[in-house]
Amino acid sequence: MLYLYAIVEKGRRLPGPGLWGAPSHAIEQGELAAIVSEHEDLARPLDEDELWTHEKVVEELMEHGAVLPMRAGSVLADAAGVRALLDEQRDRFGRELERVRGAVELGVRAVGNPAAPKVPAGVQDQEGPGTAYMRARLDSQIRSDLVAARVHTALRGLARDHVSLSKSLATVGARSAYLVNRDEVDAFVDRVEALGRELDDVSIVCTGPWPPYSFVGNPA
Amino acid sequence: MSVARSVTSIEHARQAREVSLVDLVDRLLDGGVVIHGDITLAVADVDLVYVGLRALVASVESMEREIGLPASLRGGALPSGSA
Repeated sequence: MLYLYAIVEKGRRLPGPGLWGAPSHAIEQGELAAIVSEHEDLARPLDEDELWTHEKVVEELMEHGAVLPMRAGSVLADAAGVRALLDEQRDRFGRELERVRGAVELGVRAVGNPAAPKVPAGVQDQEGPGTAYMRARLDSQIRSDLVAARVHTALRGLARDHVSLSKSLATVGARSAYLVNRDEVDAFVDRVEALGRELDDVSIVCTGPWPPYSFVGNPA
Repeated sequence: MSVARSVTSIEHARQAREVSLVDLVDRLLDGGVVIHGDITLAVADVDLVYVGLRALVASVESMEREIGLPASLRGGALPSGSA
Protein backbone atom coordinates (compact mmCIF):
# COMPACT_ATOMS: atom_id res chain seq x y z
CA MET A 1 0.00 0.00 0.00
CA LEU A 2 1.23 3.44 -0.85
CA TYR A 3 0.88 6.42 1.42
CA LEU A 4 0.86 9.67 -0.55
CA TYR A 5 2.53 12.87 0.66
CA ALA A 6 2.41 15.24 -2.28
CA ILE A 7 2.26 15.73 -6.01
CA VAL A 8 5.15 17.50 -7.72
CA GLU A 9 6.77 17.76 -11.12
CA LYS A 10 8.87 14.74 -12.01
CA GLY A 11 12.60 14.73 -11.41
CA ARG A 12 12.30 16.34 -7.99
CA ARG A 13 14.91 15.53 -5.33
CA LEU A 14 13.50 12.92 -2.98
CA PRO A 15 12.80 13.94 0.60
CA GLY A 16 13.89 11.96 3.65
CA PRO A 17 12.00 9.03 5.16
CA GLY A 18 8.27 9.19 5.67
CA LEU A 19 5.87 7.53 8.06
CA TRP A 20 7.44 5.08 10.48
CA GLY A 21 10.79 5.50 8.79
CA ALA A 22 9.70 4.09 5.46
CA PRO A 23 11.76 5.52 2.58
CA SER A 24 10.02 7.92 0.27
CA HIS A 25 10.07 7.43 -3.46
CA ALA A 26 8.53 8.94 -6.56
CA ILE A 27 6.02 7.40 -8.92
CA GLU A 28 6.04 9.24 -12.20
CA GLN A 29 3.44 9.64 -14.89
CA GLY A 30 3.71 12.19 -17.66
CA GLU A 31 5.22 15.36 -16.28
CA LEU A 32 4.11 14.66 -12.73
CA ALA A 33 5.25 12.55 -9.81
CA ALA A 34 3.60 11.44 -6.62
CA ILE A 35 5.85 11.16 -3.59
CA VAL A 36 4.90 8.06 -1.62
CA SER A 37 6.10 5.54 0.91
CA GLU A 38 5.27 1.88 0.80
CA HIS A 39 3.79 -0.05 3.69
CA GLU A 40 2.73 -3.63 4.34
CA ASP A 41 -0.39 -2.45 6.04
CA LEU A 42 -1.76 0.87 7.17
CA ALA A 43 -4.40 -0.25 9.64
CA ARG A 44 -2.90 1.66 12.54
CA PRO A 45 -4.14 5.20 13.08
CA LEU A 46 -2.02 8.22 12.34
CA ASP A 47 -0.78 9.71 15.57
CA GLU A 48 0.46 13.25 16.03
CA ASP A 49 3.99 12.09 15.20
CA GLU A 50 2.83 10.80 11.85
CA LEU A 51 1.16 14.10 11.03
CA TRP A 52 4.40 15.93 11.78
CA THR A 53 6.30 13.43 9.63
CA HIS A 54 3.85 13.97 6.77
CA GLU A 55 4.33 17.71 7.16
CA LYS A 56 8.12 17.36 7.27
CA VAL A 57 8.19 15.40 4.02
CA VAL A 58 6.00 17.97 2.29
CA GLU A 59 8.08 20.88 3.60
CA GLU A 60 11.28 19.25 2.34
CA LEU A 61 9.71 18.99 -1.09
CA MET A 62 8.60 22.60 -0.92
CA GLU A 63 12.19 23.74 -0.47
CA HIS A 64 12.93 22.71 -4.03
CA GLY A 65 9.85 23.70 -5.98
CA ALA A 66 6.10 23.81 -6.26
CA VAL A 67 4.25 21.15 -4.31
CA LEU A 68 0.63 20.05 -3.98
CA PRO A 69 0.34 18.60 -0.47
CA MET A 70 -1.91 15.58 -0.02
CA ARG A 71 -4.43 15.45 2.75
CA ALA A 72 -3.08 13.23 5.53
CA GLY A 73 -4.29 9.65 5.28
CA SER A 74 -4.31 9.41 1.49
CA VAL A 75 -3.55 5.87 0.47
CA LEU A 76 -3.64 3.98 -2.82
CA ALA A 77 -3.25 0.26 -3.31
CA ASP A 78 -0.38 0.27 -5.79
CA ALA A 79 1.70 2.17 -8.31
CA ALA A 80 -0.82 1.57 -11.07
CA GLY A 81 -3.40 3.42 -9.06
CA VAL A 82 -1.04 6.31 -8.49
CA ARG A 83 -0.24 6.58 -12.19
CA ALA A 84 -3.91 6.48 -13.02
CA LEU A 85 -4.49 9.35 -10.59
CA LEU A 86 -1.69 11.42 -12.11
CA ASP A 87 -2.92 10.71 -15.62
CA GLU A 88 -6.58 11.37 -14.88
CA GLN A 89 -5.92 14.63 -13.05
CA ARG A 90 -2.92 15.89 -14.99
CA ASP A 91 -4.58 19.09 -16.20
CA ARG A 92 -5.90 19.96 -12.78
CA PHE A 93 -2.59 19.21 -11.04
CA GLY A 94 -0.71 21.18 -13.68
CA ARG A 95 -2.93 24.22 -13.10
CA GLU A 96 -2.61 23.95 -9.34
CA LEU A 97 1.17 23.69 -9.45
CA GLU A 98 1.22 26.91 -11.43
CA ARG A 99 -1.16 28.47 -8.96
CA VAL A 100 1.15 27.85 -6.01
CA ARG A 101 4.57 28.03 -7.63
CA GLY A 102 6.91 30.36 -5.77
CA ALA A 103 4.47 30.97 -2.91
CA VAL A 104 3.83 29.68 0.58
CA GLU A 105 0.79 29.62 2.81
CA LEU A 106 0.58 31.83 5.87
CA GLY A 107 -2.17 31.39 8.42
CA VAL A 108 -3.63 34.43 10.14
CA ARG A 109 -5.86 34.26 13.17
CA ALA A 110 -7.24 37.01 15.39
CA VAL A 111 -7.43 36.03 19.03
CA GLY A 112 -9.26 37.77 21.84
CA ASN A 113 -12.31 39.95 22.29
CA PRO A 114 -12.15 43.53 21.11
CA ALA A 115 -13.20 45.93 23.87
CA ALA A 116 -16.95 46.35 24.19
CA PRO A 117 -18.45 49.77 23.67
CA LYS A 118 -20.44 51.05 26.64
CA VAL A 119 -24.19 50.52 26.42
CA PRO A 120 -26.16 53.61 27.50
CA ALA A 121 -27.60 53.06 31.00
CA GLY A 122 -31.19 53.67 29.95
CA VAL A 123 -31.05 51.03 27.28
CA GLN A 124 -29.61 48.50 29.71
CA ASP A 125 -32.38 49.09 32.24
CA GLN A 126 -35.07 48.38 29.69
CA GLU A 127 -33.59 45.11 28.54
CA GLY A 128 -34.34 41.76 30.09
CA PRO A 129 -31.39 39.48 30.79
CA GLY A 130 -32.09 37.38 27.71
CA THR A 131 -32.06 40.42 25.47
CA ALA A 132 -28.90 41.70 27.09
CA TYR A 133 -27.24 38.35 26.50
CA MET A 134 -28.24 38.28 22.87
CA ARG A 135 -27.09 41.84 22.42
CA ALA A 136 -23.73 40.99 23.93
CA ARG A 137 -23.40 38.01 21.61
CA LEU A 138 -24.31 40.13 18.63
CA ASP A 139 -21.93 42.89 19.66
CA SER A 140 -19.16 40.36 20.06
CA GLN A 141 -19.84 38.87 16.66
CA ILE A 142 -20.00 42.28 15.03
CA ARG A 143 -16.75 43.33 16.67
CA SER A 144 -15.10 40.07 15.58
CA ASP A 145 -16.36 40.60 12.05
CA LEU A 146 -15.04 44.15 12.03
CA VAL A 147 -11.64 43.00 13.22
CA ALA A 148 -11.65 40.26 10.60
CA ALA A 149 -12.58 42.74 7.88
CA ARG A 150 -9.91 45.16 8.97
CA VAL A 151 -7.23 42.50 9.09
CA HIS A 152 -8.21 41.13 5.73
CA THR A 153 -8.36 44.54 4.07
CA ALA A 154 -4.84 45.22 5.28
CA LEU A 155 -3.41 41.90 4.12
CA ARG A 156 -5.18 40.96 0.92
CA GLY A 157 -3.06 43.26 -1.23
CA LEU A 158 0.10 41.58 0.03
CA ALA A 159 -0.96 38.11 -1.01
CA ARG A 160 -1.50 36.27 -4.26
CA ASP A 161 -4.65 34.67 -2.97
CA HIS A 162 -6.56 34.07 0.24
CA VAL A 163 -9.22 31.83 1.70
CA SER A 164 -11.29 31.96 4.84
CA LEU A 165 -10.88 28.96 7.11
CA SER A 166 -13.40 29.89 9.78
CA LYS A 167 -16.15 27.35 9.91
CA SER A 168 -16.45 26.20 13.48
CA LEU A 169 -19.05 27.84 15.73
CA ALA A 170 -16.47 27.69 18.51
CA THR A 171 -13.97 29.75 16.57
CA VAL A 172 -13.48 33.30 17.72
CA GLY A 173 -12.28 35.81 15.25
CA ALA A 174 -10.89 35.55 11.80
CA ARG A 175 -9.05 32.49 10.59
CA SER A 176 -7.67 32.89 7.15
CA ALA A 177 -4.98 31.50 4.92
CA TYR A 178 -2.98 33.65 2.54
CA LEU A 179 -0.92 32.51 -0.43
CA VAL A 180 2.12 34.77 -0.37
CA ASN A 181 5.04 35.01 -2.75
CA ARG A 182 8.17 33.73 -1.04
CA ASP A 183 9.99 37.02 -1.44
CA GLU A 184 7.03 38.94 0.02
CA VAL A 185 6.66 36.92 3.22
CA ASP A 186 8.68 39.39 5.29
CA ALA A 187 6.58 42.33 4.16
CA PHE A 188 3.43 40.35 4.95
CA VAL A 189 4.57 39.43 8.44
CA ASP A 190 5.68 43.03 9.07
CA ARG A 191 2.15 44.15 8.21
CA VAL A 192 0.66 41.55 10.54
CA GLU A 193 2.85 42.81 13.36
CA ALA A 194 1.80 46.40 12.65
CA LEU A 195 -1.84 45.35 12.78
CA GLY A 196 -1.26 43.70 16.12
CA ARG A 197 0.05 46.98 17.48
CA GLU A 198 -2.87 48.95 16.03
CA LEU A 199 -5.62 46.76 17.48
CA ASP A 200 -6.44 46.91 21.17
CA ASP A 201 -7.22 43.72 23.04
CA VAL A 202 -6.70 41.60 19.95
CA SER A 203 -3.66 39.52 19.12
CA ILE A 204 -2.94 38.56 15.55
CA VAL A 205 -1.32 35.18 15.24
CA CYS A 206 0.54 34.44 12.02
CA THR A 207 1.71 30.90 11.42
CA GLY A 208 3.78 29.37 8.67
CA PRO A 209 5.22 29.20 6.15
CA TRP A 210 3.07 26.21 5.35
CA PRO A 211 2.82 24.21 2.16
CA PRO A 212 -0.31 25.36 0.33
CA TYR A 213 -2.80 22.91 1.87
CA SER A 214 -5.57 25.48 1.70
CA PHE A 215 -5.02 26.34 -1.95
CA VAL A 216 -5.43 23.00 -3.65
CA GLY A 217 -8.92 22.43 -4.95
CA ASN A 218 -10.70 19.13 -4.87
CA PRO A 219 -13.15 17.28 -7.07
CA ALA A 220 -16.76 18.02 -6.22
CA MET B 1 -1.28 44.03 21.09
CA SER B 2 1.16 41.23 20.52
CA VAL B 3 1.92 38.99 17.60
CA ALA B 4 2.92 35.37 17.87
CA ARG B 5 4.70 33.95 14.87
CA SER B 6 5.50 30.32 14.28
CA VAL B 7 8.66 29.94 12.32
CA THR B 8 10.22 28.38 9.40
CA SER B 9 11.32 24.89 10.27
CA ILE B 10 9.50 21.83 11.43
CA GLU B 11 11.55 21.70 14.61
CA HIS B 12 10.61 25.23 15.57
CA ALA B 13 7.02 24.51 14.71
CA ARG B 14 7.01 21.61 17.12
CA GLN B 15 8.40 23.82 19.87
CA ALA B 16 5.55 26.25 19.37
CA ARG B 17 3.20 23.34 19.45
CA GLU B 18 0.30 24.87 21.32
CA VAL B 19 -0.32 27.07 18.35
CA SER B 20 1.00 24.86 15.61
CA LEU B 21 -0.70 21.57 16.45
CA VAL B 22 -4.15 22.99 15.82
CA ASP B 23 -2.92 24.74 12.69
CA LEU B 24 -1.20 21.56 11.52
CA VAL B 25 -4.23 19.36 12.09
CA ASP B 26 -6.53 21.88 10.40
CA ARG B 27 -4.38 21.80 7.31
CA LEU B 28 -3.54 18.12 7.12
CA LEU B 29 -7.05 16.90 7.83
CA ASP B 30 -9.15 19.59 6.15
CA GLY B 31 -6.78 20.76 3.43
CA GLY B 32 -4.57 19.14 0.85
CA VAL B 33 -5.40 17.18 -2.25
CA VAL B 34 -8.18 14.67 -1.68
CA ILE B 35 -8.39 11.52 -3.77
CA HIS B 36 -11.92 10.28 -4.11
CA GLY B 37 -15.03 11.36 -5.88
CA ASP B 38 -15.21 11.31 -9.61
CA ILE B 39 -11.76 10.02 -10.36
CA THR B 40 -12.03 7.20 -12.85
CA LEU B 41 -9.16 4.77 -12.44
CA ALA B 42 -8.08 3.41 -15.78
CA VAL B 43 -6.68 0.15 -14.42
CA ALA B 44 -8.95 -2.64 -13.32
CA ASP B 45 -8.60 -4.25 -9.89
CA VAL B 46 -7.19 -1.15 -8.25
CA ASP B 47 -8.81 -0.40 -4.93
CA LEU B 48 -9.03 3.14 -3.67
CA VAL B 49 -8.33 2.58 -0.03
CA TYR B 50 -9.63 4.95 2.57
CA VAL B 51 -7.66 3.73 5.49
CA GLY B 52 -7.32 7.43 5.98
CA LEU B 53 -10.83 7.77 7.31
CA ARG B 54 -10.20 5.77 10.45
CA ALA B 55 -6.81 7.40 10.75
CA LEU B 56 -8.42 10.83 10.58
CA VAL B 57 -10.90 10.00 13.32
CA ALA B 58 -8.15 8.66 15.54
CA SER B 59 -6.06 11.77 14.92
CA VAL B 60 -8.91 14.12 15.75
CA GLU B 61 -9.60 12.20 18.95
CA SER B 62 -5.96 12.51 19.91
CA MET B 63 -6.18 16.21 19.35
CA GLU B 64 -9.36 16.51 21.39
CA ARG B 65 -7.65 14.77 24.29
CA GLU B 66 -4.65 17.05 23.87
CA ILE B 67 -6.69 20.22 24.21
CA GLY B 68 -8.64 18.84 27.16
CA LEU B 69 -12.04 18.49 25.56
CA PRO B 70 -14.36 16.65 27.98
CA ALA B 71 -14.94 13.04 26.97
CA SER B 72 -18.66 13.68 26.50
CA LEU B 73 -17.88 16.18 23.74
CA ARG B 74 -15.36 14.15 21.80
CA GLY B 75 -16.22 12.43 18.56
CA GLY B 76 -17.37 8.83 18.77
CA ALA B 77 -15.33 5.88 17.57
CA LEU B 78 -16.17 4.12 14.34
CA PRO B 79 -18.15 0.92 14.79
CA SER B 80 -15.86 -2.08 14.91
CA GLY B 81 -15.43 -3.82 11.62
CA SER B 82 -15.86 -0.74 9.47
CA ALA B 83 -13.09 0.12 7.01
